[in-house]
Order: sequence, then structure tokens, then C-alpha cells
Amino acid sequence: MSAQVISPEDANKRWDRLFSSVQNEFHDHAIFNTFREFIAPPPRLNCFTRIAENFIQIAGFLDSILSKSDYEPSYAVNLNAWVSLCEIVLSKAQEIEHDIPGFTAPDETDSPPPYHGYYGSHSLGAALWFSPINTSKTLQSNYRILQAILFHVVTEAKTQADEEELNLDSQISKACLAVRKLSGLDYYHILYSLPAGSCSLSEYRECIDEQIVGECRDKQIVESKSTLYSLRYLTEIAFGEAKVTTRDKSKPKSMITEIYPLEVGDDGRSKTTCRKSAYLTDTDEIKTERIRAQLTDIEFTEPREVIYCEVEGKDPSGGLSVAQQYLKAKGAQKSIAMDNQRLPFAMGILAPHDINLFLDLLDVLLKESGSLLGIDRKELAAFMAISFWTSRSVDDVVNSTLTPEYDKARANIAIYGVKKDELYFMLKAKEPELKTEREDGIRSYPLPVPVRAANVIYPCLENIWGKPVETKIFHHEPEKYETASDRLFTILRDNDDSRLNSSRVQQHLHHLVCRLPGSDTTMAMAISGRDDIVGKVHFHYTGNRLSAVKSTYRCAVDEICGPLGKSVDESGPAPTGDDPFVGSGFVPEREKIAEIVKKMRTKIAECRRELVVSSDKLIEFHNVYTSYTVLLTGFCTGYRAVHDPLLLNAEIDRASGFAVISDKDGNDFYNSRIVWLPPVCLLQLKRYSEYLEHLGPELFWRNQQLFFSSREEEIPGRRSERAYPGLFYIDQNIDRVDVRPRNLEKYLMEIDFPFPVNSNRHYLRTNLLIKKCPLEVVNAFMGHWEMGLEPWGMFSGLSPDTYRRELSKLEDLVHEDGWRDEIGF
Amino acid sequence: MELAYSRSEIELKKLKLCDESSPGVFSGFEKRRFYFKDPAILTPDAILLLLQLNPILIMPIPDKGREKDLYRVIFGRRLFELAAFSLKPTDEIFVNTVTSTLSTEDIHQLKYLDTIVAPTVVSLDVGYSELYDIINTDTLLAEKTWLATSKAEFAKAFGKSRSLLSPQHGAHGKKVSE
Repeated sequence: MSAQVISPEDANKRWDRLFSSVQNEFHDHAIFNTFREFIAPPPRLNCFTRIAENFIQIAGFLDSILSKSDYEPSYAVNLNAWVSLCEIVLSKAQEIEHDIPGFTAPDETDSPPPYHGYYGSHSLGAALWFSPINTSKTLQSNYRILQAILFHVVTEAKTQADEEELNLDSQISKACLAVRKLSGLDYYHILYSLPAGSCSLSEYRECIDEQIVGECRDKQIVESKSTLYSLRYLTEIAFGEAKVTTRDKSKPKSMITEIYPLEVGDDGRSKTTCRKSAYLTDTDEIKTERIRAQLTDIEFTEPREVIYCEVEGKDPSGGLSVAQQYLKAKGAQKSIAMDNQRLPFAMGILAPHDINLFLDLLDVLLKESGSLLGIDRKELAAFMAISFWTSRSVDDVVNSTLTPEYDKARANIAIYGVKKDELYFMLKAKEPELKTEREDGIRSYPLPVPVRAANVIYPCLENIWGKPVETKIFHHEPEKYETASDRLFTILRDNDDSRLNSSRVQQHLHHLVCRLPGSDTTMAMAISGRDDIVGKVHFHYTGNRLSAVKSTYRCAVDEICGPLGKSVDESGPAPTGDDPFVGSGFVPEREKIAEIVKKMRTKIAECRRELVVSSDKLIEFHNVYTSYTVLLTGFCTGYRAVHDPLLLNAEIDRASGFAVISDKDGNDFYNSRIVWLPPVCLLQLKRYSEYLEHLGPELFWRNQQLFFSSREEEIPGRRSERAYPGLFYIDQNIDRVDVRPRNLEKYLMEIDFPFPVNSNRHYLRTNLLIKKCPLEVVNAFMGHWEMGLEPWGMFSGLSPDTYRRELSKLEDLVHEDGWRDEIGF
Repeated sequence: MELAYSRSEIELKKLKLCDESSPGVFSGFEKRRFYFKDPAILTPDAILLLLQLNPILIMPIPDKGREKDLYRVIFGRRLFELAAFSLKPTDEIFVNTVTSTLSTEDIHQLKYLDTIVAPTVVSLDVGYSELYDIINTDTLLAEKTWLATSKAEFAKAFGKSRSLLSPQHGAHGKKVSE
């Protein structure tokens, strides 16, 4: 748009020049300014003559209206002075033209008005400028009365807004806009129906109500009448009837839609008429009904601002709808985000220089007295130290406590102190998100507070040291601590060459642990308790030994402190028990698995011996043997808990031992993965097949349908022919029971397997990592590879040779647990 | 007994044996009663041809939920057993489906004929060794019919040791006295 921009200083100078031109006749500068302030005319002076001319007429009607009302507004005392000012200005217009060239210059256009750009800041002044193009006396008179009413309600609303600290600018602006529109040709039918003679304020308002409420099915008329909504609303404010309240942000906004025309386009050129829907905090039923009649249901209920053009043409957005603009912005946002991905991971990690600066800052804070933004400096130092050395969330840190009993701490971070320089963080163990909450498992675990941190934290604990109950350390809101630390970092960044900020400091330890040798995201998540999007799935399947967590933390502390600080000392009465897992609670202990394997093999051997004499144990043998085969396959391959977890013939390459697992997959094999089968697994699959051959005659005489189904090569849900018949259990009625997770769970309980059906995946991920199998290999084996490390991917960085070589550790694991191939009978 | 039936082809897996728990002289009549212990002794082609010439007699099982669309074998159970081990469950075989109403006595009589009478009247009074020699008189014919062709395989199919196929053994493995 090509609006002429006039600075406030320039505008003031012009008005001062105008005053000096009339100063001889009109001495009171204060009244002059009051008038200017009241009507708020647009900054271009050439509009003033017309406003003054109109105002003289308006003031006459206003006087008449006020005389019929009991109420005397505050501006009434100045009304006569303002009228005389206008008269003087008009009488001296030619002289003023001499002082201020262009003062009497005609306006650019008569209609539509040139001032639509001023409705935001000079709404009343702009509204008072208008006159109907039609010279009909009735219309002229009606319009002046309307302007008088507008003048009154606007000034009353302004007074009310000042007194009650309300923001009514938008309402005032809309009312002025409505009056401006009523001067247009399209609205004369409304203007005609408004009161022509003098009437009281309340009578006038009733008339406006009638106009709005009156039934009318003509869409154009309904639309034009809607322009009166804002004016009526303002009259309600002026009468003190409207409920103007500041919206409580916590409550949902009760929205209705109000429609008003919006002009877009350059000044003086053809305009494009749009309808813009905005939202008010109003529940007026009449308005709602009106608006509902004009909008579709979707438009009416849509909780967003919409603009839709009725006439094609240029609009300020370049022809884009709001939705298109939104999409364009989203596209740009995505593009920026993609670019930002190139920023290295190390952006979140602090340089040694930054770390030293930060640690020194904590020491300095300790020595200083006083507070920063209402937070005691020692307390702030302790907050920042805990935040840095645990990498936990701000809420966790603010709610941290000092606990007298390490095993009864309830806070996510508790500090258990033996003595001043022997403190322990009791950190709540992060658990993967599960559908059901687990009651067993580790709740919290200790990490020794680094010496350098203890020196900063202890002064904050002195006051509560020795209390018999768990006591909160910090007492302010989290935001206050964040604001104070932000302020500190800002100062530090200004004074030193540093990249310190709250986010980097809080996440430094997390990122550091991620990249330590032998560690990964799951370890970092176990310590920091943070949700890392990169490690969410991995964390679900991984348990980190507490000893490993402590050891990693010690490494991290050494990495941070380096030669400048002492490393953490783990000796002393650290509250440790056994060595539980932190993270996944479903990782079976190796001893337990070995015990179960041994028990199953014993059971198979017993049944086999008895089968020589009698076939009574046939069903029992079959079920145990099937469970053994299922578990062996699961603990060799990391098969998910799926229906019939047995490999198909086409899925195994016997030369290399590689096999494709297609669980959690579709017919396109998109999510299939390649695993390496240890020889014992291949052998057991063969043994099971041989066993089923022997079982055939036994089944035939018992249940022919079971016999046939055991020989079926096509299993529902699977794709190709398989080398082996499917796995199945047999129930007491000699009927087939499919190997599904639910059935599997039941039959595994019979052999005292107390873990979830997919615990093999938790077991394999955790133990392969413990066996120092590379993270990339383990992730590929589990089907959780990262981009660029897809097994057999065209540009993958993971070599099949490395993959195969490293997975030989799986063979050791299987062998150590006692898995052997078992023959049938 | 008036027996009416229609001939058709049906999937093998839709057939099942009579209820073995029903009383009768042949209740629990098992494989040990037959020469060949290994039911998978005939080639699939031979079995299919045999079934074409001697279709199994079946009758539909009244619809009882799980057993819907199943048929009960009432005559030719030995052939059915051989077919079950030699063919795929989805292979179709020739059957005669009973269309008339049969009483329990009728069914009982048919089972008697199937299990006792028919095998008795057609059985050969020869020893294992002689039988093996007869079978292998025409090698080409034997290969088309039997899956086991060597002496060792035959002995295994009989559930006997190979020495039983030696010439000095007579009918049913009894030693022939000089």
C-alpha cells in the first residue's frame, strides 16, 4: 500500500503551526489540544477543514441529544469551546492556507475515503470526516446524528477504558468503521431507517437494535446491517450494559464470529472487497444467529481467522489465501529446519573453555553475597550445579531434596549426605513408557556428587542439614531460577568469549555421556532422565547395569573436570545393593535364563525317556519341545512376539547363516531385517522338522485334522512356502493351538518362564552391548538402525562382514546360556 | 442295505476317520495289523490311481461348528491313511459320498467289511522275502508304484530287519523248514 507516512513529530509541528495561525482568536492552547486529542484527526491537515465543518453540525445534534438525557458527559463543558475553535478555523481557512500551504486543498477522492489506513489510530477523526455523497437533507441529517452518537459513545468508551484499564481500541475502531461505511451508497437504506430528528441516547439505541433484530432474508441487507453490530456494542459499553472483562487465559475462549468488510488495495485505486471474520469474546445470541446465517458450518466453527474474497483482484498477500500463506510459511519453516540439521551434534556440547568458565562462575557466585533477580546467589549456584552435574530437567532440579535416608527419597533428585564432602545424588531411575506400571525394579540409584559440585551445593544445604525428614532445597518457582541463570549467562556471554546458555549447560552431561566410549544414548537417558528422541526405542529395550552407570558417570566427571578438578570418589558408604538394571525392567538375568534352559532340557529328556514306554507324555513332550524351539529361535534372532515365529525356507541362506526376519512388516518387506543365525539355531530348526515327521503317525490316529494342519505348508499370515511345518502346541483335546503371543505366554508359564514374551529382545540388546558388540551392529540386529547404517543398504556405512564378525558374540552368548540342539523322539 | 452315493473329488484334509471310541470288534484297529508299517510306501501317482479305481466311501458330518464341512470315512480307511501320508493335505482325491440315509448298523457293517473282510479275502499267503521278489519282478512297474525299492527300504517299511527278506523266511516271516 502507498500510504503517506508522517512522523508524530512532523504531525505535532503542523498542529502547532495551525494553532499559531488561529492563536489571535483562540487563545486556549489546552482546549485546542483537548479537541485534537478527542477527535484524533488523521495527521494530514488538509482533512481538518472538513472535519471542523462536519463537527459544527454534529455538535448541534449532540447538544440536542444530551439535552434530552439526564446524563451530562465530561466533555460537555468543552463542547462550545470546540465548536468556536472549528468556526474560527473555517473562517480563517484562507489565511491558514497562506501559512500552511495545502490546508484547504481538496481531498484526493470523495468516495471511498482516503483514510481507511487510519482506522487503527485515528478512527474517530476519520469517521467524523465523512458525509454521505447523496445530498438528501434527510440522509445528511441522519448521518450527522449518527456521527454525534458515535462521538458520544466513543468518548464514553474511552473514559471507561481509562478508568477500568480496558483495551477497547478494537471495538472503537470497528464502530467508527461502521459509521464510515454507512456513508456509502450501499447503506442508504439503513441510514434512512435511523432517527432523523432529535432523540435521546436510549431511543437511538433502541432504533439500532430494531435494525439489527428485524427479520430480513436478503443476504446483502443482512450483511450491511451487520455493520451496526459494533456500533450497538459500543452503545452498550457507553450505557454500562456490556460486560467488558479481561479474558482469563486459562479458560478456553468462547468465540463467535463477526464479519465486517475489509478493503484491501492501494489508496485511490480500485479495491477488492473481502470479508474478514474476527473473533470476539461475546456470546450474544442475536449476533451468533446472524453470523451463522452468513457462514457455512465449517467457517462458523473454524477456530481460525479466515479471509475470503468475493471479488477477484489484487490483495496485499499477493493473491494467497490465509491457508496458502500458512502452508508457505510451514514450507519455509521445514526448509530452515532441514538446514539446521546440518548443525553438528556438538553444537549442544560445551567447549572446555566454556566449562571452565561455568565452573569458575559457580565458585564466584559462592563468594558473593546478595541476590540476583530475587534468588540468593548461593542458592542459584547450587541450582546451576545440580542442573549441570545431573543434566536433569529444571523441574526435577527445583524439586530436589535433602534426604536423611537414601532408600526412602521420594523426589526425582534427592541429595543424601554423609558429610560435607561426601554427598550422593539419589536419582530416580527413568523407566521406559509402558502401558502398565511396574512395581518391582529399581526406583532410585545413587551417584556420587563430584567434589567440585559438592563444594557449591553444600552451602545451600547447611540450613537444612541434619533434618530428620526429606526437605526441599529450593523454594522459588522454576521460571525464576531459569530467568536468573539466563541473566548470568547473558552477562557472561557479553564479557567473555563464550557460548554458554541455560540449555547447553543443562544438556551438556547428557550429550557428553552419549559420546563416551562404550556408552550410548540409553546410558545418557538413564543418567539424565531426559527423553531423547534418538534413543527412545533403544531405551525401551536396554537395561544398563548400575555399576556401568556409575562407571560411565565417573568417566564423564573426569572428562569435565580433567586435570583442573578432582574426580569423583566412589569409595565410602555408597548406598548400593546388588547390581540391578537401570532402564528396561524386562531384561532377564543371565543366570535365570541359563537355569530355565537347563530345566527345559531336563524336562525334554525325562519326557523322551518315558515316551519309549508309553505315549502318555506325548502332549507334554510336544509342548515343552515346541517352547524350547520357540525360545531358542527367539534368543538367537531377537524375533518379536509375533504369530508363528519360525523362519521360512526362502528366508534362510544356509551358506552364510544369514536370514531375513520379517516381523512387524508388510508384504513389501520394507521393514524386514537381516540377522545371522548361530549354527545351533539352524540345527534346532532342522531337528524340530524331523521331529514333526516322526510325530505324524501319532497325530494321524489321534486327530486327522491336526495331522493335516501340521503338514500344511501355507500358514495364514505368511507369504512363501516354508521348509518346516509351522510351530504349534497341542491342548488336552488333541487340538492345535497356534503359537501366538497370548498362547505362548500361557505355555511359557508352564515351564516357569516368568518374563514377557518379547523379553528376548531386551535380553539380547542389553547383553550384546555388555559383550562389547558395536552399537551399530546391535541396532541393525534389532531392526533399529539409523539412517546410513541400514544392513545391506546401497550407501550403508555398515559392512556385512563386520556385521557377521561382530555377531559371533551372539554365538558365545547362546552357548554360555546352555542352548543346544535337542532331538525329538 | 440300500446304498446310494455320488462320486466327486474332495480335498484330503476334509476327511476324518470314524470315531475310534465307538464300540466294535475293530475298535482301535491299528497299523500294526497291516503288512506295511510305513504308510508312506506308495508313490503319489499310484495312490491317486488306486483311489480313482477304489474311491473312499464318505458321509458328511452333521454341521457341528468346528467340524463344519468335514466328511467321515466309512469305507477305505487304509487307503485314506496311505493317501494322508503320501499326498499333500490340499490334494483332491476321488470319493463316493453317501447320499442315502444309513443306520448305525449299516455303518457298522461297512466298517466290518472294510477292516476285516476286504483285507482278508485279498491278502496273499507269502513270506516277506517272496513278496519282495514278486514286487520287484518288473522293476519299471515297481518304481512307478513303490517308494521303497531297495531291500533295506522295504524291510524298514515292513518294520522288520533286513534279514527277514532273505529267501529262507517264508510267509509272514516264518522260517521255512527244509
